[in-house]
Amino acid sequence: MAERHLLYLTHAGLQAWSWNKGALKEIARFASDDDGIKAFSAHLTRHPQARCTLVADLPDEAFHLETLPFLRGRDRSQLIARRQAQLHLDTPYVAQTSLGREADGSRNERLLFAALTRPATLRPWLAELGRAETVLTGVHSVALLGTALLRQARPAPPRALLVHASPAGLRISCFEHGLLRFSRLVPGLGPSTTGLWQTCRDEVQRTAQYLLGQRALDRGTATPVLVLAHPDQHAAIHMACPDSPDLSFTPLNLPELAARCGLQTPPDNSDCLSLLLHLAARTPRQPQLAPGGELLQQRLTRVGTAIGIAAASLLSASLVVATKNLIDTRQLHDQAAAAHTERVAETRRNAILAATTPPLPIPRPLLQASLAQLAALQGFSAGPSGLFTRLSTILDSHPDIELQQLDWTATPADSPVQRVNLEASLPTTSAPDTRAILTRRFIDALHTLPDSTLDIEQQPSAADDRHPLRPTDPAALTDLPRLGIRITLQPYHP
Amino acid sequence: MKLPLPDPRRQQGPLVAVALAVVASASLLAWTNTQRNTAEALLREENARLAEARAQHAETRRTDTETRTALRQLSALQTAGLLTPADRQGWQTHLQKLRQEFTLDRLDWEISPLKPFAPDDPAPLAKPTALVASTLHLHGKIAHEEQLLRLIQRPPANRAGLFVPRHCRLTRSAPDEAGAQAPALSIDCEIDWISLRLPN
Repeated sequence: MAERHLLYLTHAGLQAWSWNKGALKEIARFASDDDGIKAFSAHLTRHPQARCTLVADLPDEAFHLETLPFLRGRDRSQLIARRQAQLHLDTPYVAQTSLGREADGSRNERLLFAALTRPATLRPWLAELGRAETVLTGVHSVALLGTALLRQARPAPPRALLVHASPAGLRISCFEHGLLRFSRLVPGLGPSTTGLWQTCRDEVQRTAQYLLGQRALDRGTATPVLVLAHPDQHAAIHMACPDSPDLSFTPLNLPELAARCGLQTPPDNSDCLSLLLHLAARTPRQPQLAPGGELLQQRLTRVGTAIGIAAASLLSASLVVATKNLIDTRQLHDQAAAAHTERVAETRRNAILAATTPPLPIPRPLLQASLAQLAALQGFSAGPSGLFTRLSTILDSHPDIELQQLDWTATPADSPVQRVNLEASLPTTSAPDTRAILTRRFIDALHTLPDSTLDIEQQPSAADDRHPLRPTDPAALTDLPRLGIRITLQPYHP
Repeated sequence: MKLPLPDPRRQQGPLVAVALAVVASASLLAWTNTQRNTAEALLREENARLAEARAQHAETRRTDTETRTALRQLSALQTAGLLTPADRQGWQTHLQKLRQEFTLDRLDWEISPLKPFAPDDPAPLAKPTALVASTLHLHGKIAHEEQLLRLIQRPPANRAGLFVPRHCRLTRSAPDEAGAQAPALSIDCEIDWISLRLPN
């Protein structure tokens, strides 16, 4: 884990503080001369992994309030850049803070340009940071940090002056709806300065006069002045800074505010440095004044971090997918094992059943075909005896008809039947009509055979009125009148 | 003042980490995917084998049921005497006795040896069988139908096998000058004596 270093820059020099979860510790102090710069370079070499944040507390500041038409995106950026160029600030250390829309209700945007107007003060230190390739997270101004400071002093009045002391001096800042409007540092004033609060009162009044001239404060209204100090100074503040028609002084409890902000070691005097550095380290998205080039290492570090996060995300995603795959694989293996066990059991049951199945003397298909054929033939085991007996009875009742030939056949097919071709003769002496009557009676008698189908193949001509007679047909019968009948009927069961 | 360019080696760590992460992720995914695909293939194979084993068991159960049914039927056939082959000598004796009794001098016959049974119309029963038959071909002249009915009946002393007349033709003979005592009917019959032959 990279160390977090806060570099507090004043005209006198630079202080290096380490910050870790609200715990601040001063680790080095460098004078603003060549020796100090060299010592700082050596310090950076000793801390190559440090991530540094520069907090500038300099009197050389400029604050310009500009009004911009309502724009967005690239147009707004271009307009801001143009306005900034028109300000001729002659410094790359500029930050813009939007103060919102104008009070008159128009959509115009008020923008505060805050600049550190003496870049030479910062450059040697930033050059060493760049040379050591130390990650610089940003260059912040104590004036701009005042916004975060005031945010903690709830409830913040709409317009107020905030006064706090630091090693660089006494800073008086003007806030409008919680946003910085103006700030000035009075160097040389510190918590240990004799008559600090009387001087403070004078400087506040001077600042208020200036701001009234700038119409940043309302005339005729007592502007709240919040003085951040240790409680043991509050009585002195009350004595030194009585309220006036224009100003109303209110001391704020510095240790209590520091504790509320999460600072682990609240200050034991009215020096706000530790609280300011803590806010600089802890407050995200603070306006910062360094140009892009100064933050190259920071960007590279961020790129590296992003790459690392991407790699970690990729690895995490692949781990999730891989875990799911492994879980699925485990489940599939379990299912396969269960199927294998079931198959082995099924095979064992099959083997047991096959072993207990008695053998057949002949192959089963052959046996089944034999049984089927035997069943089909079974119907004919009675033979033609039953039919012959019935025919004999019918012939006995028709003495004029004489059986000439009988051809009986058993057909053991899917529908077993017995077929009979019967040929009989009629008396030649009888008249044709009589023969027809005899024939009809005989056929009617045959129809009484159960489940029978009769097909008359031949009958005496007198009985057959369906066929024409031609010259080639004999004029008269020369032989016995014949009757040919085919009978198909179910076999008689014994 | 121009700041020195940052050392690109500072990005080596993250880049190496990314490369390692990509390689590790790809390897991990490839390995786990392979494992999963292998497991899926194994499961498919096991399921197919299980289905095959179940089908085989069902077939074995069916075979067992049919075998036991067939054995019961065989037992019934044995009880009914259908496993006993035709008694050709007994048949011969029976026919000779009838010929003598009816005085049928012009009656002739032939009892074939045992042979695989072949029906006249084999198409519906085209499957091969283990049936054997001895066929009596009876032809000649008889006096009347009653004699025929006696002749085509099985020998009364033998109830084995299936006795199936296959075909029978009766033709009334023309009146003989010799007188009324002459046989009046010509017959031509075929009778099968069928049984099921099992291997010894």
